[in-house]
Amino acid sequence: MNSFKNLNPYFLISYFIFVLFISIFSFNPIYLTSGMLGALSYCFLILEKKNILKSIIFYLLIFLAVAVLNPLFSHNGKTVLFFINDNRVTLEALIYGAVLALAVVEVIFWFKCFNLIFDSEKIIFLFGKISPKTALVISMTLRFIPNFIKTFRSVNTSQKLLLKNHRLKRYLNSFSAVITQSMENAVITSDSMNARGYLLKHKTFYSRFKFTPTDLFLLIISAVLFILTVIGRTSFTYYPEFIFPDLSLLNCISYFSFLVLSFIPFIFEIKEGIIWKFSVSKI
Amino acid sequence: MKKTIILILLIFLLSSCSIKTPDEYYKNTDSGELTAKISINCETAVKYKNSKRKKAAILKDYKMSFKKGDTVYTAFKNACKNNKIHFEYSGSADSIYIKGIDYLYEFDCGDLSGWEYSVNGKFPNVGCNAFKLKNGDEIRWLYTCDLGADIGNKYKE
Repeated sequence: MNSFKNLNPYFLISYFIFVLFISIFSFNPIYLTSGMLGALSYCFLILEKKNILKSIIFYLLIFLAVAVLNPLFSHNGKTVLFFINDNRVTLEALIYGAVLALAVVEVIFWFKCFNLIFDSEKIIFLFGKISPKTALVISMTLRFIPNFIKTFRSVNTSQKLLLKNHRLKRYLNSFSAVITQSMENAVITSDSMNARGYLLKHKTFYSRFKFTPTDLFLLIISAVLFILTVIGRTSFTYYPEFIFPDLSLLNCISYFSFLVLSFIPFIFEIKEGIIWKFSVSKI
Repeated sequence: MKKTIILILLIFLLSSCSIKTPDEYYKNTDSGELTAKISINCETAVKYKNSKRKKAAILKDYKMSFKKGDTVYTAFKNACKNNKIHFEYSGSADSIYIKGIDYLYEFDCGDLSGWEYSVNGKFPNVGCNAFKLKNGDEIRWLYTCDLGADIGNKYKE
């Protein structure tokens, strides 16, 4: 089965650049919600549902914290809810905080998808020719945290038998052990890459990625959708009062094309699933 | 144990805040036997390039009564309350700083912009909650786009 993950890395990286560009720079709740839905639907297809629900609760807490904290520090806005120590707490600041929190959580979810899709092989394929050192560093850092958590857990379980009642000591011991181990790992990795001639000038890279017509088709579609999204005049004004961008045809097209753009992975995955099902039933 | 500490901290935090509804806040607080004049002006922001502001005078020669020992900040705050003018401050005690008045904030007109105040034409070099008022003082809040140079208070190094 040909899933979204197995598409050409050139298409995948440009897709992520398109989506993240709009998510980060448009400060508009409509784009943010549609991007959020797209990322969430893809995560639901790929990851276990239990893990996703857990992380959703965690990110909901982050969302609430940011949304509530913003009006305590920013007092701009015309609609006053109440006064604390002669400073106003306003509806505008609350909504601005909510949109800010939505942007943060959305980008986190897109990077979750990014992490699922991009392994070190793809990163080396993308950046290996341009700058091999950066490619190695990126792939090592992306691997670092999951690897760190995994080794920390295993070291901690073994330390549990030695230090039953000293929780702090146990954590400190295993933490320093894992730090040492990961530093050693980094040195060993770079040494072994050097020994294999990773930085030699005329080294060629083996890659199993072909640029197929599907990739070209998807790349063109997402580029067109991206341009249609950027064309819309949809900047919100939050302070001192809301000014909504008018719902002209251009803006509606812009909102709709970003919705489609952010659902491309989901649609692709579903389509391939349906094809797979039918091809099985024929046999 | 942890819960009680958190509870005590929360109660302490809440008791140090005074929470008011808009109606309570905007009650007229004219009190005292001494008077001062307050005006708020943002002429420099109107002249600033690409400015959307059209009205320069936010408050014009408003007569404000105050008690003995009141500071510029207290008089300014009550004047804003009585006229329902928005303002935002930060800091506490002597070092209160006015960030914005009537939705016009510091840094809105370039890196050197912000609010300054003068009493009887002189710019005191102290925070507005540290300057005690006398009877008949004339307070002016002026917006500057050039660290005070455009309103007659050039910054000396």
